[in-house]
Amino acid sequence: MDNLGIFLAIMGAAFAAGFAGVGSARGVGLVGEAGAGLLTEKPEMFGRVLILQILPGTQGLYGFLIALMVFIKTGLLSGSVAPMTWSQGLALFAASMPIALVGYFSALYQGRVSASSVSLIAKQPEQLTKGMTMAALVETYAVLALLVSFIAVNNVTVG
Amino acid sequence: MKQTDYAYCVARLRARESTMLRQADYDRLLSLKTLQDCVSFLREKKWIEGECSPGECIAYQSRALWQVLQESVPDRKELDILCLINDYFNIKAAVKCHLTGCDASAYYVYPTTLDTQALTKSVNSHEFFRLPGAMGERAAESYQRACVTENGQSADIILDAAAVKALHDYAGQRKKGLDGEVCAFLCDTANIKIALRCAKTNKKSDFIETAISDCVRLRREELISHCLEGQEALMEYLLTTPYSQGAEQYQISGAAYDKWCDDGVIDILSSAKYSSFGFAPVCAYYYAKMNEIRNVRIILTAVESGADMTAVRERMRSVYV
Repeated sequence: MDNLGIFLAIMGAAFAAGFAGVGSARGVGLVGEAGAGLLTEKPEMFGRVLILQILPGTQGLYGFLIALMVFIKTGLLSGSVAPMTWSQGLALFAASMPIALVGYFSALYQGRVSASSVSLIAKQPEQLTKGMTMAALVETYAVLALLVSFIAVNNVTVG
Repeated sequence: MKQTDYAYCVARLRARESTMLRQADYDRLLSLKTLQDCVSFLREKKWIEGECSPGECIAYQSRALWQVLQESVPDRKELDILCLINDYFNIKAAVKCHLTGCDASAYYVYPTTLDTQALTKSVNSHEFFRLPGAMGERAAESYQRACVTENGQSADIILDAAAVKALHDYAGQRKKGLDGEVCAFLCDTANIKIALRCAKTNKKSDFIETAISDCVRLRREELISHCLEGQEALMEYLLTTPYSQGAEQYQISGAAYDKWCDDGVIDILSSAKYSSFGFAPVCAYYYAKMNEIRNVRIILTAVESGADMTAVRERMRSVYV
């Protein structure tokens, strides 16, 4: 029971990096598949496809950022783990959840929108900006979740 | 198969759709006076590559279409439905050629899921069981009927009905998909065409019963009973069904009906233009490209023979892109 607090905090960090990362990997993978289809026919579109493929990758970074903040908070990075009660650990776990869940799902949906945008630019290359805008709108919710997780992790007092 | 598994395929086909001929291109082709001009225009549009005759180019386009689809889809088995009618046609060709001693390879149509050499060998050696699924049974039945009756038509209807039944079964399995809707449409329109032909030639009840298989949006019994009553009764019945426009077109000519059917398929699949995933855009591209190939063939043949371009314009299939 002594380590329950730190266990919960690490689990929160793992969920934040894990779920958001898996979501991003799936999203980027889907756009990559669509992109490969387009590049088979039009290799000159690589630059445009790359922009669309990058978009669902940001959630993974957000998750990583929150995980890093939890590690700093708990002292895991410096090697001196701060003493932590189970309620403090639970608070860090809960603080990590917004980016874990929203990151996962928003990356999946952003991947779908970006893959659809690949189909859009396949026929109308000049519509790249519209495709990017539509995909970027999904990002809004990942950014909001990042902010919530960031503020929450920052305000949990440890020790 | 998940819809997103088609991401690569659909994006690739979308890129290819941008190179398909548009209405303006057809208008330009129709305005050209000589075959040479048409070939030059098609070469400009990258429809014809290298030095080849128009016939060779059309054959090349069909082969290229199939190759792209096979390369792109996540599971090639999914494409079987697109070849179903060709598969049964090829079995008919193999059976007939075996009975008449002709070379079947001259009559085979592509794309097909059957290995045509193996098909010829199986039919020639009466090893029908080597054909996949129900095809073997129907082929054996058709062959026996041809031997007993010495009537090619009565043998043909067994295979035609089997093809339509396969479409019907597929439509039943894929009720929610556009591909299922297309199969339902193809199944019903094929049955209608058979019924109209039977009524026109006053076929007997047992022939009609064998020739017409289950329909999706029509009742088979009603279709058969009106068919037995004659052409007028059948036409009156069809005008009360969802296929009334098709019946009207058939009154003009068989070719007009065929055009209506091809356009109907494109109509059903038109919403696939806005899908980025799934099998429907693959189906749509296949039928759209087949229509494009048909259109070019019609135009080139008409230009070569000096036919009336107004009539050609009436036969042109709808443009998908």
